[in-house]
Amino acid sequence: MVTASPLRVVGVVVPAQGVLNRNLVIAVGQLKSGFRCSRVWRPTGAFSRTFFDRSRNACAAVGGYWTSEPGRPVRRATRAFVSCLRRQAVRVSWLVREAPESIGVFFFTFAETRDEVVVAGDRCHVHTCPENQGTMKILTVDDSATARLIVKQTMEGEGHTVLEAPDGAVALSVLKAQPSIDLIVLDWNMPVMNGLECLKAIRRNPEFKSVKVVMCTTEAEKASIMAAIKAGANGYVLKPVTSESLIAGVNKALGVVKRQA
Amino acid sequence: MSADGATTESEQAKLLKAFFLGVHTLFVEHLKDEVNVAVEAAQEPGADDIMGEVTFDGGVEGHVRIRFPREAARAIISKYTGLPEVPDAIFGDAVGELVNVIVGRAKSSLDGGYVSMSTPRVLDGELPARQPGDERHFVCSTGFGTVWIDFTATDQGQKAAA
Repeated sequence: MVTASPLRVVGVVVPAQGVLNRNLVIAVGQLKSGFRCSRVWRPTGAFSRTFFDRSRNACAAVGGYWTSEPGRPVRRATRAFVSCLRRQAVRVSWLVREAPESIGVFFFTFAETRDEVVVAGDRCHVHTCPENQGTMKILTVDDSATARLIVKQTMEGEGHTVLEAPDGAVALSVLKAQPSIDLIVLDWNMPVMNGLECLKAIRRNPEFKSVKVVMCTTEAEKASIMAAIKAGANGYVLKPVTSESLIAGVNKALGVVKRQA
Repeated sequence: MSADGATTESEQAKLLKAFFLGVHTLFVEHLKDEVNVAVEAAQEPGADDIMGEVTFDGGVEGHVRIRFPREAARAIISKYTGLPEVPDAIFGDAVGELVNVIVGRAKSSLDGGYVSMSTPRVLDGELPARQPGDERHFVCSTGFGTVWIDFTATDQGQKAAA
């Protein structure tokens, strides 16, 4: 029986705008050198953009759609992996080959976004389909124009589109008018409708089920954080934010975890 | 608050300490600057200062103002936002956000406590109404210039009894 070293989940791919609720866990294991695959991996050219390398979003372990126990037979694990990919509506172009370093390589394409993914060892490369680049639509909700500006600068710098709203009530209007919004960066203390009320209203509406919400606030008390999580916040970032803390908070909310060094 | 409803010195000190911590956090942790907080001095607000005022309610009534000389405020906001030049359109708003951050840190160090605080109100080009003589002024020396904390707190229970 061919066995592998423990398979490890190494990352989460966040597909392009509109399919954020279909985050996909990518898993890969190191294959024993004796493993043979009946298929030949056909490289399709250089991958000029490496999503994981660029933003360091790969990770050592995440919860997700698929995992494998240590020592599980590679073929069986691979079949499970492929089966999982197919369940997630991903067209698997090639499965695995024996790489020179005895590292499994998976190559597949997202059916919906046509982003191409190569997983090799503990590295994962995503070649984003050009039309999918500049992907997420983010709504920043804060009564402070300065706070909105900081979020806007940071997230636009990451290639996303950013809309603004000065309070929770306006945010709900924007959300209804623009159902393609993927993520909301939401302040807590605002006039008219505060962030917690806004969050609760968003979570009450099934239309917005897939919208991720990251609270971005000075409310640092444990009770406040718990209240926000209970109300359905996907992430919590404390002000003052830096680009790094905001991006990390957003990635965490999306289920993307930084790769372990 | 003590059992008889009086605001003790230590409760005022606790509030003050929370604001000192807020200022320290903003400058040291976020702006990567040095700050020497809390030398008490007697300097009234100047016409060129811009300040963010937060009022207290609940067990204690009072206010705190974080006061910036205009040029220091511009330098701080520039560092805070990453903008080389601070547009006039967001100048006052940004001061409010700085004070909001300081107050947020102060509130979290009080962990709920007995005092509720307003959202910051920015006073730009207007001097606050004169306060009773118990307002205290604290100097915070920073790499951006001197920042002031103006503070007063009165126990509401005592006030009602009087």
